[in-house]
Amino acid sequence: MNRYQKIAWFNLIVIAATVIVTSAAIAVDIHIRGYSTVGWWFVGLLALLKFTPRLFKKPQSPGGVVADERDELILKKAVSSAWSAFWWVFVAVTFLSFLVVGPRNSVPTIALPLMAIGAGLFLKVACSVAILMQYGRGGRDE
Amino acid sequence: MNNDQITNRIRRLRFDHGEITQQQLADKVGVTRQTIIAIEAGKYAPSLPLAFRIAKAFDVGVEDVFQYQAGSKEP
Repeated sequence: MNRYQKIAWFNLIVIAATVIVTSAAIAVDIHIRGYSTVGWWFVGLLALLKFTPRLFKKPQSPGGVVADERDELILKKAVSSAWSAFWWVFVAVTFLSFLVVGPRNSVPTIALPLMAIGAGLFLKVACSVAILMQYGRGGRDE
Repeated sequence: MNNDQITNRIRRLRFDHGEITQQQLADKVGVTRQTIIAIEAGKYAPSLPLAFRIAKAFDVGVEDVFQYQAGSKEP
């Protein structure tokens, strides 16, 4: 498994853990108090993503190849497909929310930062999945 | 749809040249082992410079390593 694959898995695990822990905390908070303020603090787990460059440093062996032309191509394709997927989902969500909420109702302002966080997470997840899909299963040395 | 195919003899050449491993070949041409695996399996078509570096590693011409098979072009 190379550096890009490790980073992709790390991103997916951190995001999945954040979504699960935050949802559970909010559910418990609402169940006990009727509303939730504490639960949202668990979104801070996403800060772990900032440690990615430190956790997955490039190996400093002089002759070792960390990434080559194929890795760069995979990364470019992953970013490109993540943005394409994002715009399709963004358009679908805006139209669907209009249909669900209706023209006379309004959405709470909390929806705006949630949309921004959601968009960032979606891009990270889509990019990580695209990277892992393109690498597929690594072969054995012969 | 374009059905062009690029096949290669890297696996054969590796065994003919002292059974060098994929890692050894990767180090020689400056790529990762995964890339050599992908090229051997026909899942990745290398760039022209890399194709020449691989051919040079075996001391043969690039056409001895890679073969191009033109496919039918469907509209």
